[in-house]
Amino acid sequence: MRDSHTYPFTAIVGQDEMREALVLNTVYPEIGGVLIRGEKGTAKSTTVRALAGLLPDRRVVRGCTCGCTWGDWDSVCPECRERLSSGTPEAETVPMKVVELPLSSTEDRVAGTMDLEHAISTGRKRFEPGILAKANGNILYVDEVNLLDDHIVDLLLDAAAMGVNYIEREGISYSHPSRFMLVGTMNPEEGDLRPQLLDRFGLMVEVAGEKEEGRRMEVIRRRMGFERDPETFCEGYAASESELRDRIVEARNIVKEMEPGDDVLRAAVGISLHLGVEGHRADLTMVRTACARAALDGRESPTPRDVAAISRMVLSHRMRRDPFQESGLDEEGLEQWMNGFLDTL
Amino acid sequence: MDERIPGHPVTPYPLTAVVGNRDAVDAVSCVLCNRNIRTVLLIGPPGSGKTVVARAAGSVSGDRRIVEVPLNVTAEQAFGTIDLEEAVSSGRRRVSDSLMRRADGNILIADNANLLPKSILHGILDAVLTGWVMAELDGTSVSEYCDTVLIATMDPSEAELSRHELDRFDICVRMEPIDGMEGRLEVLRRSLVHSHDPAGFRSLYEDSEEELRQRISAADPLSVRLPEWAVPAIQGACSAMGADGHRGDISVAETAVTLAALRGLGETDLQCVRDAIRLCLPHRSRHEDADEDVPDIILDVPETILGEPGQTTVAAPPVSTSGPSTEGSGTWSPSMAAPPVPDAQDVVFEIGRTFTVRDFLPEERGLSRDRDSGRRGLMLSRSAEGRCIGYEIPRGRPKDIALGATIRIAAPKQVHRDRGDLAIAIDGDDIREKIRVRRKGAKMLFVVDGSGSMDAERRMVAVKGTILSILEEAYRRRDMVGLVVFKGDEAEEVLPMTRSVLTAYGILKELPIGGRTPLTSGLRLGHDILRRYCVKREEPVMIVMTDGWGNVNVDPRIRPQEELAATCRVILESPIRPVVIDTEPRGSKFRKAPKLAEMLGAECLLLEEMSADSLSRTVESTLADMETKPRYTR
Repeated sequence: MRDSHTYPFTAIVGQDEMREALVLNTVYPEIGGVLIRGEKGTAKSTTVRALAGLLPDRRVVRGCTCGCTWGDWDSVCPECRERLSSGTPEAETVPMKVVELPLSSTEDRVAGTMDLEHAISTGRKRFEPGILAKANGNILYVDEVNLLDDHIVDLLLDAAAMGVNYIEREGISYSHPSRFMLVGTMNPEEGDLRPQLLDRFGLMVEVAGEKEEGRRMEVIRRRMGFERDPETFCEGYAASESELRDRIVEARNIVKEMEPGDDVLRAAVGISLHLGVEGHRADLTMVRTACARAALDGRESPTPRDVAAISRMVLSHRMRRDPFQESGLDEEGLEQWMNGFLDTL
Repeated sequence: MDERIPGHPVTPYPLTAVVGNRDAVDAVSCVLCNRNIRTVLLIGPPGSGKTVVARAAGSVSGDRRIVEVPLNVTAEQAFGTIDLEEAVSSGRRRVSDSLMRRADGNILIADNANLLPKSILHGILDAVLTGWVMAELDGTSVSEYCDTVLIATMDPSEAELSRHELDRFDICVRMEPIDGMEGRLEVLRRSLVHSHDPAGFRSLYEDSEEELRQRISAADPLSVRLPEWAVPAIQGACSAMGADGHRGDISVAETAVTLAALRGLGETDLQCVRDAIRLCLPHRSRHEDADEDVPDIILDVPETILGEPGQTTVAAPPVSTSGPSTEGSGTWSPSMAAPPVPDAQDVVFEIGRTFTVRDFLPEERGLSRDRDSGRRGLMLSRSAEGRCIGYEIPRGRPKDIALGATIRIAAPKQVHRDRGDLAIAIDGDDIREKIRVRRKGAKMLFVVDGSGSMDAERRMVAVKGTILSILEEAYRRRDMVGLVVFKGDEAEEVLPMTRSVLTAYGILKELPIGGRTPLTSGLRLGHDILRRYCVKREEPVMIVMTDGWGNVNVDPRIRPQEELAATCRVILESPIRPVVIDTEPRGSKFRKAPKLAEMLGAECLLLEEMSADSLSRTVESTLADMETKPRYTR
């Protein structure tokens, strides 16, 4: 019963930062995903899975196992290139999905490998797509990403860096687009994440269980309501879900045309410099996230205030360059400085 | 309908649009220009632009294409194996198309080369440097000519390359992210435009790209003269920087003439030699801080040899690393020169300098040697987890079948087999099983003496520095670490076993010391913690850091020495691998730690011996600093 219904995103109580981070990414996927840090039982997985209900549709090449985007002919898989040259590709509209990467995945299953059945029955090699193919154009979700085996993390990094999954395995040489929004959750008590992987996540948010009693009650009430009768429960949230979905679609249209001004760029670099964050990915992510925030508000262009508002999500996990420099933001001092700094722009 | 999907644009970033990083651009130009320079390594933290520069090579390389070495590459695919389709249809063994074959005449890009399996990285380096691909796989011999170059990148915080591996790169550039407001703004502006409209962005740089492309194809390094003074200058630089072997000299010479050719010079000038030394030597240096030493050497060498006025005629430049170290001063604050603090009071000391730790972990006793690949931190996995590095004939019932290999073994036999409806029929003899490795991730527990006796010697600074150095290494290898401190009346588990090295660091920093020395309690607690990890042939390590002067016993009815001996015996008989680090200064007459080590059946190391640096100057200079400092402060 429950399988056919996902808990609605707008029915989640609290966890504002996590929800904002996910929505901003949906508006502007180039932000590069979200890492959610927190203890067990803080609605991390529920929220990520709930996001599926808000995702926009994609136009893809019909029948493509790598989910190639329709129209993006410079970066499609070899089969789609073949379809194009023989002149028969067809378009198809599919919903964007949340694709899960289980911790027990093997290299073959993640990267893709030789199709064994095909080889034995025909004596010919054929590529069998893996999770990185399924994730193309979708959300790649890794629960407990800090427990993922090192060599699987390497494959993710490789694909994330290039937007392409190159496979050189078992006599198969193949490449297909693999651009995904990476969403990971982790419980920090169980170990750190490699800095390289950390840097790949556009945003990071910390979550904690609801403390306030009234809200805790509400969490339980809603959860029970959903378990008893998911259909009625979801109907109750249909309006708020569709309203948010419309806002996201609208924002996606705005953000495409957005040209952030020099003050926004200066704000991004200035804040990074002040906090001692190196690397350009942070600056770029700040600008993009600020754009998404403005677009979600229905504004045509972002302001330095947008940058300040999202800076914590972008920078907190990038503040240590090696595992031995402590991270952490001095909230008050930062806010004071930020106000002064924004006035100079 | 929105067509955009996450990720990075496929259109490469133009090389001439890279902000700053002259050396990296020079390095890429050199490898594209001179066939005798074949390998380039770009080292840098995430976001320093190394991957962008490596890929941008494809933008100025003319006809030569980029061939990617993905991290998922398997050996048979990299170097070639039996061609499956040919074998099935004709029974002939032909070498299949391989990554290296496609690299012939093109450019190999290995992003994060330090994460590639060692056997593959070595195979690729061999092939690139010798021009021949040699391999024996699936009963097939591969021996093919291959003319290619390699541009590799690495983030050193993830995994190190050995000195030998580094030496095989002709050129190595350390890249740092651009700093400062204006520089970063420029990088940001360009990346925004590039990601928004890659084609439009490229067209802005079409002229400069074409100019560089022309310059690279027109440059003829073979026609550039290397002047008389350059050879001794290069050799002087090599020996001053401790770059052994001849690869260093040759690389510098080749790079110098190539830079001159690219700059339109007929003869190599001083600047080209200096630039070449900076590109080719630091990664070959024996000295730890070679990067910082370069400027001195390149200033000194050519000028002394050119005999410029005012210069001495001594050809050998000063070796700046042998001088007194001033860096250790950061670990010292004058207030600590005060007389030893009273015993009862706990004092927190700073953390001393860190260094590369020598390989000190005791060998495992259980794992049979022939099955071990010899790589530290990796172990053969008996479950179906871990990275597959090859395959073998199964011992007993096959569990983790290497399907690809099995099919390839069966393929040439098909013409003689009754196959029914199938194209390939597989016999029991064909079946191969995967060999997998997992990162071993040792379990390490520090059992640290936090008593007043260490305070008196003010050696806690160095002790903390040593622990931190081991922690840094542990982080790289994803080890689990824990920390037990014994002081006062008892031992305390201040850090339960964790993979979070950051937590360990925080605790280490705040670690107070003072009081008596309950050594036996420390060892017992350490044993109790590690006993839980003595499963599945694991042999956790206990690193005991003490001067060995235990003076508190657990049970007052038993003599302290007997109690200690009994505890040591229990540890000796367990799978725990103990190692003792003696915190007494070198030259101290009253040592007890060696006796403790003997009882534990462990090796006893001096704090001074922990550094991997053959000169061992790091710890020693930290210590020397501490001892000499009071004389300079009033």
